[in-house]
Amino acid sequence: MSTLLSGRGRCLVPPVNVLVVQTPISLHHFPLTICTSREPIATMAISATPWVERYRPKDLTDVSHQTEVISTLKNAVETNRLPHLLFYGPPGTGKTSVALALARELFDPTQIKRRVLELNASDERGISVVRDKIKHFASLAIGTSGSSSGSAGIEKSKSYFTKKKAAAAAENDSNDNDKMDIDNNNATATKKYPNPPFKIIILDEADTVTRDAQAALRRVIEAYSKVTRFILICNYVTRIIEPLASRCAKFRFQPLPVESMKQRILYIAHKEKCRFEEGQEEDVIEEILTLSQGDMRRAVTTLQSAHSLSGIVTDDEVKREAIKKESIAEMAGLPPHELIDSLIVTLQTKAFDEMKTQVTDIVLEGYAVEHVLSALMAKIIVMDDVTEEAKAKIAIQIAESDKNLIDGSDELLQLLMVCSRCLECLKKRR
Amino acid sequence: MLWVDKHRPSRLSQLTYHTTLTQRLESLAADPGGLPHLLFYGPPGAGKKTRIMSLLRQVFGPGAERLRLDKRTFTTPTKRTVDINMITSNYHIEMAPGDAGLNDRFVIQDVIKEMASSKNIATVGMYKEKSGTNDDDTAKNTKKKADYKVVVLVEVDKLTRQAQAALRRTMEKYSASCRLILCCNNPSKVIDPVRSRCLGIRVAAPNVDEIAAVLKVVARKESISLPDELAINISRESNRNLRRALLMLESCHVTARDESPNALKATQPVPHTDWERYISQLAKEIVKEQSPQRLMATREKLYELLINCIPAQVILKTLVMELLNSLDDSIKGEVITWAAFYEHRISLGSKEIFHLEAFIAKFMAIYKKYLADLFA
Repeated sequence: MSTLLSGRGRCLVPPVNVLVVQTPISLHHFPLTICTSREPIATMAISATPWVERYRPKDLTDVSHQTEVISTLKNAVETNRLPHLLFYGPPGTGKTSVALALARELFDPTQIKRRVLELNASDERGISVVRDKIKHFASLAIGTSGSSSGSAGIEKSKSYFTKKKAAAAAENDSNDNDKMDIDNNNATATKKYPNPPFKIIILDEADTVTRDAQAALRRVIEAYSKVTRFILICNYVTRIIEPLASRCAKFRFQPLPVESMKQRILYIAHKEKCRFEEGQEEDVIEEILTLSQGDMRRAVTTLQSAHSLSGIVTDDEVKREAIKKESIAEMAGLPPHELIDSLIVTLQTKAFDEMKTQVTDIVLEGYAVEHVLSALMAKIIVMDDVTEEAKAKIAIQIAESDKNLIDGSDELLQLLMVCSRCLECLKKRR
Repeated sequence: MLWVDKHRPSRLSQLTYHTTLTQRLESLAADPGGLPHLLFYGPPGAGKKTRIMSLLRQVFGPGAERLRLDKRTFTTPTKRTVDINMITSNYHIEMAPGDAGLNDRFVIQDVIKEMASSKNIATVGMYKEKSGTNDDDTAKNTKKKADYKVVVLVEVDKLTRQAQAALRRTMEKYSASCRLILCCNNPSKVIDPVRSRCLGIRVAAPNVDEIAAVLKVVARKESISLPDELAINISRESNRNLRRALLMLESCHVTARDESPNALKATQPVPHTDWERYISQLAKEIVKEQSPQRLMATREKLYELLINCIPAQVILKTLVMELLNSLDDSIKGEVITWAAFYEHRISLGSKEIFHLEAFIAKFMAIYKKYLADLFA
């Protein structure tokens, strides 16, 4: 009986449109909401995903700027010789995108689920996970390479079990398997994927993996290198232990230069029909790019925020206003230029008490003191009429408070300290 | 019910100050599908939570106001259990993962994954039925619906780095079925990767006039006459913290209730807390006399304050601000520098009283030297 049931249960495995029926808890008198699981998700994905996700590069050629990395990887894909990879670089430079794009390039869509394991900091990644989950996934053998089902090996071994017990059920079973294989073949007929005979484990944010767990990975990487490739992704390569780093081909991702970001941002702005004031388009985009400092994701999020906040609700519909240059800093969560400028004027000309009121206001306005400090520093460094000595003194003070802030000191006191030092230094000059 | 809660606005249209911000929130709510992850930041008592709740109401309709208190238990991989209180409606969960201390990472991983992996189907039927009967602001939203759930995380700046790192990919992965609204005082404590995934919304503290206006509105609703002078006075004393101003107003009312139940006098003193009075008295004593005996006497006062659970950082900050009022400009800079120095020490060290006393001793030395130079 049990074997019969298991056989029947397996028939349900191929994903058909499953009916999802759910009654809203508090709304018992409403008609049931019924929808098929596939369509709503698909349509919603278009309208609701953030632009960062929507414009994530789909394949390797789409990735902006990182030409060196891309050409090496493409070469690796073509020759089917992929080493273990270690991607590192500042946030928003495309590390995760490249890894995902690479996976998509290698395997056909039906295979990806089985061949690629993506683990990131949101998953538990202690040493036990390395020992169990990663090792288990890494050690599983793959069936025949090419376009046939990747987990065919496992499937077959299971069906072998059932066959032993109840031949009839098993027959059903293998028929199903065959059908699935045919489906897969049809799907892949349009585009040729290399489907190399290995699996990929993507360890995103690998610098948050504990040292112990990294140590445990060392042998795992080597022992299963026949069937599994690792892609480690991190911001700080120094946090990856040396033995692990030396097992991988390292790729450094550079902060994106303004030019290549500009292209992409312009493209997105055009696609999303962002409105700019006449002739202001270039200026606004420049502002976004300077504020995001080579971080593509930040630039895209800023653009989206600016776009969605430019809407004004009238009676029935949302009207889009032009995106203004002045509002960009606000969107990025940084103190606006005017604020810093007026603070510097106060520091040069006013007395302590006025400085104190202004500083208190800045803190109460909700600006992060660390950002105010770095903006202040950037402005003071390029001021012509300040002596080198004064600049040096201010720089030391700012550095010290920055450290204090990280230690959890009070923001108001730290900013007051820096400003009172600036007051001295900038005053002496006159 | 306290006036603060009783008169809290629950719709975007009822918000009084920061009109441009309200407009922006309205335009966000008008297109719920495109709502990005949000990060609200600003000083305490500025109205961050009020805005979050009104935004949710605008997006989901009145159902978002039907709240219940849930207690959830999480088990960490080390088999330790963590209890977290959360406030939930059908559409959102609000919680402070920081309550779990060092285990906050597991709470985040668990809750968000659970919330995000199922979709919010309840909203679909909701709007079709409710739109006709309800007030016009929800009726606008009938065309576009929000088919995701919202997780509101408060005090994200108190989260550990690991917990914040755990947010990173989760935010992207489940963005179709789950939106995060983060709320914090200090955005620089939120790691860059998380900040770059959110739309930052700065809620500045309301200024004195705005607070006074709110006070007048509340007083009118409670049918109490509130003179302008008192309203301005209270809002000045509140340090631009609206919550505090409202509490002050209520305590003014309570103290004056016996004489005149429905009217407040313009000369009514604004009540201060005991500890503030105590600290300003302490400051006066320090300025009056600088000697080892006085230093010994201050120790008693400091202990008294600490015993009553006033945090050492707050004592130091309030004390410095009091002291600055009675100083000459020439030594203010120095005093501030040392105050910042000892405040930093407090946050690093473990025995607070040492640093408080050290600061007072330092101040006495500076002030005595200043006086000596002045008369020499």
